[in-house]
Amino acid sequence: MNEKRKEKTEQPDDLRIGVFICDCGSNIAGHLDCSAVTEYAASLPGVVFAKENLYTCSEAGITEIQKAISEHELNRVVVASCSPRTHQPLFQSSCAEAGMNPYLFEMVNIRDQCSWVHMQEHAEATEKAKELVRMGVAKAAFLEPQKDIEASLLSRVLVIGGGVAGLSAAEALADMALEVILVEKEPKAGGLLNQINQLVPEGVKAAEYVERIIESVNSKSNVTVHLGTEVKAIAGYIGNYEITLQRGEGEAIQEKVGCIVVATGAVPLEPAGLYGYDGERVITQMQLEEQLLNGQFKAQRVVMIQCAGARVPGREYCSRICCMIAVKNAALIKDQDPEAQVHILYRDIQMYGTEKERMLWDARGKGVRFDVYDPEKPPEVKDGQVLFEQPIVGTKRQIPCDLVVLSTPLVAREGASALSQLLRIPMDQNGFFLEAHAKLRPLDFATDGVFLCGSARYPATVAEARSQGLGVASRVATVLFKDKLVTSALVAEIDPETCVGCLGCLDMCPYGAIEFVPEKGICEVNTILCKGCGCCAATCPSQSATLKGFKPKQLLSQIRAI
Amino acid sequence: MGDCHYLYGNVATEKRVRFLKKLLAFSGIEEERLRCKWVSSAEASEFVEEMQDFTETLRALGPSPLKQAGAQRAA
Amino acid sequence: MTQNVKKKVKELLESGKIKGFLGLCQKNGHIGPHLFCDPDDLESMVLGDEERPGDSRYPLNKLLIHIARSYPDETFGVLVRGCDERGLKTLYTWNQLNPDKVIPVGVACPQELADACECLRPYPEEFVEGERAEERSSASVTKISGLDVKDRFTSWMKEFARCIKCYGCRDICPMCFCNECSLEAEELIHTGELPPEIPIFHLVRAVHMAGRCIDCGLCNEVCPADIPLRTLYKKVADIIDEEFNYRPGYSEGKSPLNILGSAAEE
Repeated sequence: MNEKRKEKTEQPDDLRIGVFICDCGSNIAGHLDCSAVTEYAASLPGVVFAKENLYTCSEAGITEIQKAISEHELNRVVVASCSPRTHQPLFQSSCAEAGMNPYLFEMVNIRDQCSWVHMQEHAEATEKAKELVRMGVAKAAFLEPQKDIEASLLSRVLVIGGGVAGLSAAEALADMALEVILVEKEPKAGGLLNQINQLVPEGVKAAEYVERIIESVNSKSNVTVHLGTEVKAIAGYIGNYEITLQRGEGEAIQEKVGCIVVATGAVPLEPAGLYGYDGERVITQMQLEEQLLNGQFKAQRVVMIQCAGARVPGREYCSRICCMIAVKNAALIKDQDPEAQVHILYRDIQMYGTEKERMLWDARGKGVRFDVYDPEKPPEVKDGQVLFEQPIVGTKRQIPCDLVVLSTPLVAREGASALSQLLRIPMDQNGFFLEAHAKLRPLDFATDGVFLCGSARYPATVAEARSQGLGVASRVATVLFKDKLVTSALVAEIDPETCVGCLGCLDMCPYGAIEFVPEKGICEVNTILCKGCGCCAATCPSQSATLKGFKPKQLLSQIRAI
Repeated sequence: MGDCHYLYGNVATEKRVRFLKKLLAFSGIEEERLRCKWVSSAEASEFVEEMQDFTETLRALGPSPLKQAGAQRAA
Repeated sequence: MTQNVKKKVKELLESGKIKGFLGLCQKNGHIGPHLFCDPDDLESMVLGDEERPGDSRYPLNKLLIHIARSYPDETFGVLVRGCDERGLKTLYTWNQLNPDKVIPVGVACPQELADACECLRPYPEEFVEGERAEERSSASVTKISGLDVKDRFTSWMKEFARCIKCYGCRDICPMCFCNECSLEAEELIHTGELPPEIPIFHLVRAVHMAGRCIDCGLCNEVCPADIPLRTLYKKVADIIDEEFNYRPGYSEGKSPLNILGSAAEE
């Protein structure tokens, strides 16, 4: 018992900690007494060297750290400066260069978390900085050396979906000399563009546009296109996926890839039961596109109703592209026949971007009529007329028409949830795939090695789908252009001696990184999939699951140093 | 909620906090001593307000009963 | 009172459906757990309601975990009261027992025991012995909840202060299936003190009971210091029920604290 207590309070033997206090010019030193903090750090248990630097991250500062490591045989380094988010990698690699294991480095933030927030309180800030340093030193004492995790990478990519996004991704990936496997469910690549008339603002024919990309993709020797094929099974993880493809009733195809791109697109909503939709006198924009494409379009008086089945309870999102499509087609009708009457009933017009705004102005100039309707009182289609109420003046209007065109949103594919389970990737409440971060990582999934582009993510225009496809290729390249996959060693581990296989950790792992091994009756961590979030460690009732670098002993020694 | 860097970390935390507050209350430790609030890195003023408010709450509650019990036991 | 159970167990053993039956036997005046393997040797079997109802209860499903680990391919029968059955269900969700390898044989608790336990369901879903007693609510919890916060603290501290840290509550608990226990983790709880660091020791255990405790009350019975642990864990179960509409052993599925993302709410 006594020995246990001793172990708890005492630091490991032969501890040689070096502490570097950064002035950050005047960012830190201007608001607290760095010399006093340095002097204090030198007095802490285990600390054999303490130094104040003007800029620890400068070449001079780094040299000092490296010199101290060799001269004072430091086996722990603590830098008290700015944010680890920006500077930890630099300090860690510098320590590694000097021969110290980089995982024995600890960083304390006395700028963002101290000098900057206590600018008017010199004495108190100095005391707080001392406490923060004391905590860092306390944790550093219990740090353990770790080895980076390395794994092999296959320079092959699976692209799921042969629409404009998937094709663009495949094309760009192939141009980077990566081997690409493109899988398209339909017998023909091109996706929705096959049904579309022409693209704005350039006015090119959609079919020609997509055909060019298809030809380009087909011409590349390092792309294998599987048409009429679906992904049946996916196993493995970043760098080494094993996939099973199935073409119709044919034999399954096995492939191995390093990364996966999801470009499965979306489908236009079929507005069954809305505004008397019958596919003849009341049609969708998609059907109008086909009529315009085939030259079957004949109507003289057209009313378009925006947000048909969109932005309503149960489907609250805005599909973004329908306003543009309506304006495009309205203008096209007026171009064909300036005498035609085209009326667009809308709730809000979303013509984002300068080019699209210009389209709206042009359409108005061509005589397309725009009217607002109130979602509480949506238009009614009756006996060859559209009835609606102008919300501002409150007058009821009747527009006689030959054709009603419903602008329906793009909705997620039915197969999306199956793919989401196959790849363990999240979907939002509307069934679109959810990127890792809407702004910072829009083309990544939180799961490493899986990427996302096009309307599978959110309704996208052709130009957007194309640029996302190109973008996703660069994201894949950042992974596959390395010799091997190197990930942080700060991942979870499960003690096989104490684990009883209760699956608590497995259920709580957001990354599917934990597996139950029935033969052993215990859970094990896949260190490549693990992101080091620590949910398993927090859930495990027996502390069998712990997170390296954040073990109870390390964290609690830090907390108890307060 | 749901914006956690680690996907569901904050959801798990929120569940535990909900449980813990009630357990603390039943054990005779004011549940106001535990607080959980999501503040993003872009919401400095909210963080400051929250901390000041929490400090005030704790000040009004006085020293933790645990501390008092500890002192009694030590004496 | 044991005839129906004996008959059922005999059938199960003779048909080969089970390898053995984990129940209670009386030997030399003492009652203890026993694995009956011979259909013709069930004489000594008892249910544990000898002098008073439920005076000889054992965590049979906890013992079953160990037996099942040694004989993973065999099926075993086990004697269950309402609480034991809840225990089994919960142990299934924690992957500690395989429902396909367990055949429970149920007995219903007498009213006197249901009253004493304040049991929300003093009978298993199916039982061959006894009669369905009336459910009781937790008056003990209501009583403590009614106290002022300061008095609650004082009262619990007084109770906890008697703890001699025998770990009896943990050792008998059918839901404590871990090899390594947080109550002995030196980082979490100061060791070498009596009473153990209060209230941390007991609150750590209470937290671990969240989503697990099936209210069998064995902890309370075994405690030599008479700490009303059952009341504490009853409240723990109430909280999880109030917050997440889940009560271990009563509800289906896993504990909300073990489900990724938001749990079902009230």
